[in-house]
Amino acid sequence: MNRLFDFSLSRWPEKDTGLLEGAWSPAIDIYDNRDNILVKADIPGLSKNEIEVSVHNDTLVIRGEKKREEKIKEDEFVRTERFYGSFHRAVTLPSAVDADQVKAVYNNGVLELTLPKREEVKPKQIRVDVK
Amino acid sequence: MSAKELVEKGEVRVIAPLVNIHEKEKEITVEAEMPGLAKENLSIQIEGEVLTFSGRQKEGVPEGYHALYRERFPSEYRRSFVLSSEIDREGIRALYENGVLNLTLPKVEKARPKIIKIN
Repeated sequence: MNRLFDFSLSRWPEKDTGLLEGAWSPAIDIYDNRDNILVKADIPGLSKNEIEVSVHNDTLVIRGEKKREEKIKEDEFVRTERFYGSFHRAVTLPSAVDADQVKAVYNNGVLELTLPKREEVKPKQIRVDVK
Repeated sequence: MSAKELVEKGEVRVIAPLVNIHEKEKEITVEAEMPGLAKENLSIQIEGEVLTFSGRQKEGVPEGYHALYRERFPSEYRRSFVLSSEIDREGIRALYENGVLNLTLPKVEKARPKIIKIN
């Protein structure tokens, strides 16, 4: 085979990332404000309908499967570092959310979930009258 | 230094994106995972024999929110490869889709395999 890429200047991904072992789960961020919980997850290279999001009480589960392109023949692979296969990530949210009102956007490989908090868990302002 | 310490210092960590490389008859394709970039923040450069692609993910805390837990910190994706003379530099194409940068590097005519017929 032609040595078109003689060497790579960058390091091989670290072993402890787990990416080479086949166990992969997306990196996530969790943000919070009075009304919503916002979750962002890096899931590059999927299409919208390959990602499944479910919410049960305060548990959020993101799952999906990264499929290999079938049209690529085995002998065409020069280097394979990207992960393929199914993944899932379960997260306990800081409060109960309204599962029916969850908004999901997938853009540039980032899944963004806006999860509205249930009315009863929102902080309430209590007015104290001082006489 | 951990990612968190870097962020506190206002620095970004540099990540080598994971790549798949395929060699086909007429071209080489490179797929690199670089999620969360705006197209303007992506750059692909050729300097001499070295092809470098990079991009800055500048994600801060969204407005009106505070962070509870973070694994995704502002990062710079950067990786370089040495190109052989068999690559047609003028013909390199790039497409950024679903957080994956797809590069197509066509081979120059003389580098493509030839089939010789036997009479």
